Amino acid sequence: MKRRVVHLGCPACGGRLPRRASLPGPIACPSCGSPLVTVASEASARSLLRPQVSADEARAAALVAWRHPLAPPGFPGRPETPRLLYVALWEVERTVARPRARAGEDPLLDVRSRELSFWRPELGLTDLDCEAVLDAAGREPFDLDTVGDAIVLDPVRSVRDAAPPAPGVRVLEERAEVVHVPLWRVRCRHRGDAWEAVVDATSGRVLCARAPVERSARLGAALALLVPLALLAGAPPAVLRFYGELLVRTQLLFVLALLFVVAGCLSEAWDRIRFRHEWRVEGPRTSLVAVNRPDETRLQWLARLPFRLLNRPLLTSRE
Amino acid sequence: MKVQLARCPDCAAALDAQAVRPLACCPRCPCAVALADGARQPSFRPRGDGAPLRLAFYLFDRESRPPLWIAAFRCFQQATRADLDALLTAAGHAPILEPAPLGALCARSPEQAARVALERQHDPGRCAPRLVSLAVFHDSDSVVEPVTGWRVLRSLLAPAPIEPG
Repeated sequence: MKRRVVHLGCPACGGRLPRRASLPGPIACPSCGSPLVTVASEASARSLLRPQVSADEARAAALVAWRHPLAPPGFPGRPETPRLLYVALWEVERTVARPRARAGEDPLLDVRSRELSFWRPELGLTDLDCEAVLDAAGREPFDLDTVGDAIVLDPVRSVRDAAPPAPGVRVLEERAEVVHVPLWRVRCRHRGDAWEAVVDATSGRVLCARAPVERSARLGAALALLVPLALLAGAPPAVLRFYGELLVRTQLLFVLALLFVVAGCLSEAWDRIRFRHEWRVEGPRTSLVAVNRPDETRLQWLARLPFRLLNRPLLTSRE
Repeated sequence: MKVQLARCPDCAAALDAQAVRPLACCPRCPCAVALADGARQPSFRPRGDGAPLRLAFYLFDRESRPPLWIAAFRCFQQATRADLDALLTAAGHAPILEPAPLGALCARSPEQAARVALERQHDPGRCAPRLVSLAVFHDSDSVVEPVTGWRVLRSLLAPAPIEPG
């Protein structure tokens, strides 16, 4: 890759230009005020959206998202000062030739794609409405000197990776721009762990939030799963006699079924209190997610064992 | 990469420019300037048209045929012949033009416009295209072109018309 050193000076007065001058787009010379423009064939334009939501508003939105009945007492307390992040989106304009345009149809089409330039699941960007965000707020040229102590996440994926043209079309013209979209990251510390929420700084919408769940709060659900076992254990003699007769009639099948139900209930109940859970808000969805739970617990492995054993000969015969 | 003055070569006014757009327009003079090589492109408006909100077009004058209009802007989600330039060409719109500031930004260079014309199987003729801007007006979130009645959401135009003031 060829590298060149380029003089970033004002062509009118020779004054030193800020770093932003290395990006394509208009800029004013800080020394003489002359309007300048940086022309670069290979670099993409960059712009940014200014946050429309203040840090206090973002913190208030995060507190609302964190509020749920299973949270431990004292959570979230007082969150830390929100931190501003700028995430990069690609906005690509293309004029493409359609391979099979019908008679009377324009063989050319102007298309616009707005795509995330990287993938960070913890930021909840799947729920970021790129179209609405980029249409709503006014843009200004990106300037690293004016974003302050905000974290700027640069594009990781290229234009062709993030917004590839539709298969079979020929691209005639293309213009790509990186738009930096502001997000507030609100953090809160609780019992040594950091919990965070990400708020869209253009609309104030919570994109994602995580909050701890008190382990004892899951006790009710665990006990509820044990109720069938308790009922079975404390059943009146007539019911037990019925089960006994069933056992005599069906023998092994009934024993296996009973063991399967007992193991399943115990496994699910144990799951409820054994693993740490967290409350996740991702856009409109809320869910309870186990943090340190393996994909399959030993009890689940045992419960699924008969099915595995049943499936194996079938798979072998297919092979 | 190079940093260059974004001033009009004639009147030294600051040019209206956008990053990675081929042309910048002078707010006072009847010309647009190619940012890559500084070449000047004269600009025109229909006579007596002083509306502030405008869209830019390339006008190919063709002998014994109605003029060919090619939009200098991009309009998304217009898949059929209902594009404004197609409507203007079909209507044979040929206003009397006079040199005037363009008042709009361009997404295409003249060479790209000629290529678009060829792709649409129009003969652009031998003459270089003229850069013409036509008046449009706002109607709620839409932009309306008064000659054809063409209407489109403002957010679907790139570059969007320059707002006065």
